[in-house]
Amino acid sequence: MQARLAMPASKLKAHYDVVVVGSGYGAGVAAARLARCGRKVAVLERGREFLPGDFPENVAQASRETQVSGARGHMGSRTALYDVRVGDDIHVMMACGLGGTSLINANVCLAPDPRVFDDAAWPSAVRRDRLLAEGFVRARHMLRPEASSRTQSYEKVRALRLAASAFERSVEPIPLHVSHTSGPNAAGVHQEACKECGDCCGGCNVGAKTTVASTYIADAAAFGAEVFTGVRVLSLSKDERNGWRVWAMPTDEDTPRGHKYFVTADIVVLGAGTLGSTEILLRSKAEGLALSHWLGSRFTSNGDAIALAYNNDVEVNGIGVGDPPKAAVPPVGQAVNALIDLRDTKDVRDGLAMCECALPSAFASALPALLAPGAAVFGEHEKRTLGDELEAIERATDSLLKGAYQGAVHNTQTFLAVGHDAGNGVMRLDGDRVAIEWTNGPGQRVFQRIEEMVRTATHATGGTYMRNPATEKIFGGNLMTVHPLGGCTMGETSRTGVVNHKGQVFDTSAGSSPDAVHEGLYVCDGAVVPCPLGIHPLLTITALAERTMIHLAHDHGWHISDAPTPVRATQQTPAAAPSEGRPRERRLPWFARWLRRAPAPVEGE
Amino acid sequence: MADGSGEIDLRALPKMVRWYSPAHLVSTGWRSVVSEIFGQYADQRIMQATIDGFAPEIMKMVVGRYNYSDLRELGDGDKVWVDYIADLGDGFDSTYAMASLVSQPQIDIEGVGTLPGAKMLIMGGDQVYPFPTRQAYRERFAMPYATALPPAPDGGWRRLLFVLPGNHDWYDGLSSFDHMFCKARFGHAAENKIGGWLCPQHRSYFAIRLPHNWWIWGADIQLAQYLDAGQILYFEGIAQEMKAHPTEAPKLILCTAEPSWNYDKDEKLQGEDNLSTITKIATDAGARVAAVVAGDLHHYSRYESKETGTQFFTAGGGGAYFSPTHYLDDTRKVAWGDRKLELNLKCQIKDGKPTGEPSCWPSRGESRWLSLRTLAFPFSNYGYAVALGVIYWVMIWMFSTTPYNGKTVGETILHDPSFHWWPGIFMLAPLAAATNVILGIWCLALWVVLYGYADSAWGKKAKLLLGTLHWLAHIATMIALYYAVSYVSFYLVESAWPQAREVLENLDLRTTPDVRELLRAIVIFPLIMIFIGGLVAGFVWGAYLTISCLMGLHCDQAFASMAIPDYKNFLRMKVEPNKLTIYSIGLRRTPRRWSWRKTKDTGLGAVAGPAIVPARPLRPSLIDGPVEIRVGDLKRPSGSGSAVV
Repeated sequence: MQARLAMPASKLKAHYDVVVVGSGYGAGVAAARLARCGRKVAVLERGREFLPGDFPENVAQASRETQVSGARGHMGSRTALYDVRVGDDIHVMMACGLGGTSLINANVCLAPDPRVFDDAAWPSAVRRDRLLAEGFVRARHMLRPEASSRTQSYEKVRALRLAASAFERSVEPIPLHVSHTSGPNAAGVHQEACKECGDCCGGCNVGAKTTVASTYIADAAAFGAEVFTGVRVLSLSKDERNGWRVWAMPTDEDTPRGHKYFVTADIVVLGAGTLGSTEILLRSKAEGLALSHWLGSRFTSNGDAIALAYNNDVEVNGIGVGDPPKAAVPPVGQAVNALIDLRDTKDVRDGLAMCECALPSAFASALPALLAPGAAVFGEHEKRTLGDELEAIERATDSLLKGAYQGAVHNTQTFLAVGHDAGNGVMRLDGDRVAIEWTNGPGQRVFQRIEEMVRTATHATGGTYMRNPATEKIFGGNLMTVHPLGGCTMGETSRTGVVNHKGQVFDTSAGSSPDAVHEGLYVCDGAVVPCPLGIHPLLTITALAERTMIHLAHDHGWHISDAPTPVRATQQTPAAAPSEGRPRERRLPWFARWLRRAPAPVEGE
Repeated sequence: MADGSGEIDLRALPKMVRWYSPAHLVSTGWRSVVSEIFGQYADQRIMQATIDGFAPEIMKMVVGRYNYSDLRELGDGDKVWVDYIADLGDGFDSTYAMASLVSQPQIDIEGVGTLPGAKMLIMGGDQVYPFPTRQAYRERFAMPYATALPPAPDGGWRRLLFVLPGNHDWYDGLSSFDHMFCKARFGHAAENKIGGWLCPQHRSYFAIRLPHNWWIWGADIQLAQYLDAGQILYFEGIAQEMKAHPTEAPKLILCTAEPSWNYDKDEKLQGEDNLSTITKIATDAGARVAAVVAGDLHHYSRYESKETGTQFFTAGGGGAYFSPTHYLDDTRKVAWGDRKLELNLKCQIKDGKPTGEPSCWPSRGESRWLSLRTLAFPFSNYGYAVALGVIYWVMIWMFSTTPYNGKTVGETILHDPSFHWWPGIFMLAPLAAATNVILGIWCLALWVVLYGYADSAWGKKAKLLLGTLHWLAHIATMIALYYAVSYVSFYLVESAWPQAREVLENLDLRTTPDVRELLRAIVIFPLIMIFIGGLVAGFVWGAYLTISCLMGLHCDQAFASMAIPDYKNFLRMKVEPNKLTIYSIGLRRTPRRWSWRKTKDTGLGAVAGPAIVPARPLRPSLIDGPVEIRVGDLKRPSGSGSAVV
């Protein structure tokens, strides 16, 4: 059972030892490890805190929790959970909330092919010292990735197995940071057992998803870190006396005018995500901070592509049902369960991997009406016999009449593919927002190869192949990624990167040596990854952050305590309650307590 | 000085070898016989010449040949299952019960669910008892395991088998073991099959790479001797390889042939300890040692190091006689790299929760209770009891015929009205041993043997006391038996004499009282003395073992005498990227000879399953755990969490 961790920005103090910007995988690690070093840490998160039960359950709630921003403006609340950035060349889907993308990702804890780190883009120290491996150990220890023991029994995995047979491959179960049994997690926070509702990507209302908020941030808070939500960090500047000024404003204000304030810190760790950290540094650079000219470059989408296999011949059961379940179907599984691994190629950059994905139930009721015309217009399928065709039409009708859990939509498989793109997108500051330019992005061979692969897989199960509707030519033919990486990439010197292998930001002010760094300024999130990873990046980002923290602590002569997380009183009370004492409350649906206990989330000030 | 004390004890310095000392003569003679019969021990000179040809760099390159990294494909992507069993190759019933349990496609265990069969089995030593001949291997090891897991229908292998030699495999200098398991060295890697098992190993030690940079090392320590230089080079080469992985930290499961943490060590051997040698190689490469697994003691126990998180398993339940657990210490110390680790036995996990009980199986109470069964020693070891009876009779015969005061000792104590056994016997018995030199020598020899037999675990003085008490018990029993058997024989000859006299008369033989006495003394008395008195003698022996065993001495001998085939165990390990889960699986009772059935041949071609099955399904249970060892909980040797290499 998660306790609320966040405080409003009004409680911010003027100075901290460490300010961590963001609360995703990288920032969470930084907050937890530096708090364990005995530092006074503040975590600044632009979004709100979500607890299990707070996540959207239907289309109305989901649309309220969606924000879309692009060149033409901003739509929706700035603290809405689903944060979609529409760009001219590529769209990016992120999360906004305490815990970052871990709130709505698919929990895929896979390590990249080791050969990825042989790429010259990585500083050689990453390969040389043994700490990245140590980082992976620590990341796994905290997130506890484990594949579901029932992986092979889920219908979407069986369908994927059929698809895999087209490549003469088997499917491999994916370790997920989901707790399959109820009990305390690595940070001592009680988590429920997964109910296999398939809703991971919409936000887990069960409390089984091991988010950063329930692990690293909870650990940091237990060691004294202060967590603030609704704080949007704008830029950084040097303070004469206190190290760094972190300029911020309340997230729900449109313009900084009149709301801008700053806190000072000896050390600032940027972990606001690929777009967030890059944006903050770009703005700081514009305001005069000397940073490498590589800042904003080497953006990669990690070869991401999403596609649908609509109306397959086989049962897929690939739509989340939520909890309590919206339909009586067999267990869906977790959002992502199995992988077709095509990474064992001679050149590591040709490697592809593809997994299935359950769509969150919050969107379920909208899907039949979206997918049926979508498939009719954009879909392509192999020639079917008349009987098959009739059956397909019957299923499509079924879905339209009876809903997403029957017929064509029930038999729809969503594929998530990752690969290695060129990794040469550029992020620029366009007024107040960061814009991504990637002129040759969609034209790259990797996306054609992924498309071929997904089409083959779709036809193996007799489905209709649909690209991600958002990337259709008619809408601009843009790519869409959920794995943005790069922008503040690692390099040996400021001539090749923005940060060094320890995450320290290079100082390019006149007269400084190429490997000079800004004292006390660190980046540790996906932005430092200098090349596509070819696999879902969360574990690598976490491991790199752990490595950065080991270096940071070592350089400052601090010791990262490895004591178990102290269990706080607020967490003990609910754990004891269900055993005995309050049987009346136990009979209520599990979320009722949260609905009662947690009124409107605290927003800003 | 080796012990580092600085003081030299003159008396403890080694003396010149006494070549003509009787003990030395006997042992040399025995050894020459052994090597005559079982072929020469491997010629060290050939070994030296072979090894000398290779520079260490080349030796390490050779390691590549013995890289079993293709085993990564054994897993289902994320996890790999590995079985560990040790001390097998004893009686068919227990060995086969465990073989079939391990070979089953899956095991259903109450409270745990279904555990899939492991694709790889590691045998931890003592694959055959008592002596490793080729025939013994075939009968006691290969037959049960090949029957339990026959080859696949196409004749191919199904599972992999890695084997470590234990002391019983080493008794012939490892020749039979080498022929049995290490043929891959001669390029027969794909052919060295035992039923459905494939033995891919090249040497008597191995390092197996599993996914995510997990490794299993099997170290061969010969007869509890040194790790040889070749082996150390081999593991050093492997250590370099495991260190080189960019994203996965090296993690290790170590298998050795003996649970050295259970044995009292000569403190002077510090630094030459095998376990510390090999763990130093591993930890210097940054490896985390998750578990150390050994057999040799035929029970299950687990020690835990709070300091590093490493678990120390003893799981010698492959088939050999069960040995007790009640003498295990709660805490032990073990040499680990450069320092000492404190180990704790009280770490039992039941239903996934620690209970604080000692984690051994069977429990100490049950083990004590079982040691009472040693009292049945003369019945379970009747041959030994009869042999004791013969010795008793011989000694008693000499005792009773020793002349004393114009009569024999026997006549005196049985018929002399002026002789009172108390306290007369205490004078008479030593006197008899003194007058009758042969008897004296026998008594002395008996004492020497019993003294030598006594357990030295509590030190020299305790051993002396124990041996002497045991000897005294036998002497007293002898005299008591002399009384008892004599009176019984008087009674018997009294009641049997009329018939016997008739038979003798019919044969025209004399029937004087002398003859009657003769009949009693050389027929009835020895028969009773040897065959029934032997039982009593055996009982004394058994009582000695029982009492010692309850005190924690002679435990191995006591339980070896019973040869209990029950309480078998093996380990099933699940290896995942961030944790190792070990299921300790026990078989409380193994089927006896009469409860095995042959499977009917359906006539449908190749039989896929085992040819022999138990009449009732085996009922394994989880005896400890599941023990979850999380990699992040394991401390690396440097100790500090922020070590930068």
